[in-house]
Amino acid sequence: MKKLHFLFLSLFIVFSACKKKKTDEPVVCDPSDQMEVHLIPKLDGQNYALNQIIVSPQGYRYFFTEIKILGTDVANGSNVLSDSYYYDFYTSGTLMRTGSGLKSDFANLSLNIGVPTTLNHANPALPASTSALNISNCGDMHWGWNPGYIFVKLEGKVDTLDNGIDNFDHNFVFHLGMDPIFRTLNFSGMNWISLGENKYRTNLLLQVKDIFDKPGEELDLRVDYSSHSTNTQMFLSNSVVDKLVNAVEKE
Amino acid sequence: MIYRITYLLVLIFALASCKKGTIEPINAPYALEEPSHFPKMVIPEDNPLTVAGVDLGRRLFYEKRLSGDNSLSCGGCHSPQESFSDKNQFSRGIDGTLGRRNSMALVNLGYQKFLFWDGRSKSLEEQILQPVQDPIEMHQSWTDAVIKIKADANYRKAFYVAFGTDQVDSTLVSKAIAQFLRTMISGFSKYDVMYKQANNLSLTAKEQTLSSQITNEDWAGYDLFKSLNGGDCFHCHNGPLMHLELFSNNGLDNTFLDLGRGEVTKSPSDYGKFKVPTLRNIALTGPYMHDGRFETLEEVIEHYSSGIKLSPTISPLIEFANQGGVQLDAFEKGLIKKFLLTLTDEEFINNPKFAPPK
Repeated sequence: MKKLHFLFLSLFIVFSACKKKKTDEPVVCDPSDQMEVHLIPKLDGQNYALNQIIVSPQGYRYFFTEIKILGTDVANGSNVLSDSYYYDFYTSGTLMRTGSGLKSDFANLSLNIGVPTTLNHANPALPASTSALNISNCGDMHWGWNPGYIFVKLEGKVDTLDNGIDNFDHNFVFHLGMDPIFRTLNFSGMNWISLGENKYRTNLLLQVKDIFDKPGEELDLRVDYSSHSTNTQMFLSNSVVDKLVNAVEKE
Repeated sequence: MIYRITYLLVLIFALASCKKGTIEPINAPYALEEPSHFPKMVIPEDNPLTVAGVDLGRRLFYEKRLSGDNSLSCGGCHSPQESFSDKNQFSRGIDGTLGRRNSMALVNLGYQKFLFWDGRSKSLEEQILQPVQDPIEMHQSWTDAVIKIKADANYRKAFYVAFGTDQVDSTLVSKAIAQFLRTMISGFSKYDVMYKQANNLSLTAKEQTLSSQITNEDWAGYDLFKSLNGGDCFHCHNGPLMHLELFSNNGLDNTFLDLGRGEVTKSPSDYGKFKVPTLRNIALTGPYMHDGRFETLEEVIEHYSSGIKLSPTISPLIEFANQGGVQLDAFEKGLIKKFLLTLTDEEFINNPKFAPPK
């Protein structure tokens, strides 16, 4: 009998030791929507592709080879869809950024072109690996700690010889950055298109012809074709970033 | 006696019945040593680094049985002393056939998003599968390669320890080699110290020793390297990794025998573009360019100074292309070379962890 008690006691100890600990795990209820923000380059109402020729009002021809924008805070007030984005039309197409939240929180949308001063000169290796600002994700959009990030890259080729032959003999390069280039865009009444299963997208349009050829605000790429946002080039950089801002609209 | 036996049986049954239904960790995680000024490497969730996995990957990297005639390993065309590149213009495959592109240096691959000169692979695991099967390289089917590896009891055991199975296949081989390659980090050169000093990052004692070897000419070369009106190199070679994820036509030819990135995308706008390589250990990785056409750094510098050739896809970043290049004088070329030498990381190439296993 004594041995039997010992047996039951042992069994009790064993079962107690291996008893699964109950934890009050909260029921996961994720109400968030997945939302994509796209920026679609347009030319004369049609989707624009890199290397597609644009004819300027002056008659010369040019095309873009790169359109890149690095920015922050895709948000509606305190509701942040994403704290950073890297728009690289060549590599990633029209997608600016995917974020999660409640669609109803983003009836309006703002986003920054560029990086606020507080982040612009910080160690680019430190942002989270998922952040567009991490140097692994935006290496070619960073000059160095002191100048900071490159906010916008517009690159392409211009045909300066009006001889009926495709020469495209001149490059244009606008690398826009430095703190004064920072801009904020605001849009209201966003149209979120359902993609099914709590997924939505909204489209912004980039009228590529308006960047350099908006009537009354033309920039002659045969003359002004380069800025790296050095001190002497900041006037041109400010002008180009304003043209870019004005070329973006809600669909 | 019968009580004792009953007791033991019940105890065993009880312990067995409450055994947790999860797989126990089979191996210790590998502690990756990343330089403090580097971004954190993103490791694929389905291939975490483990001590056993990295060790297995190292053995496989130097394993000649992965080639058809057991004569060539990955390390055969990626030698440690050449910063894991090949000193020959083109590497020779097992059938004596020459490749058509220069072997790229295997440095800091864990931070790269596109692999091969044309960027056709987007992960190391994917990239590693190709040279084994390539008729001009190791020329062996994965079926045959796996049969050879599985025939080795040591490998079966090593795969079991690393991945929990002895069912070896090409996926696990590539995973193991990828783990090893991710550990091959170069971040201890004079350049790294200069980068940290320029950005007011604190130096370790070891880095301070290196700092004392940096000359004024090294700094002058760095300035020229970054200068828009000097070498103008930094548009494509920059940052803590000294590597940017770009494809570029850097003015080597007017017309293209090798379409490079264009072979992958089929887009004429990508013809003649190639992956911009890292400049780390550049003094050791010659010959240079995708086709190894330049034997020396002097030739490379001369190309950017005066040898640029125009073509429809030439990079807009080569802003002095219309005048043939940036037009450096002899002194400036010397300074650029001085700077390029600061990218040599002796500790990396001599690291016994990356050497062939004994």
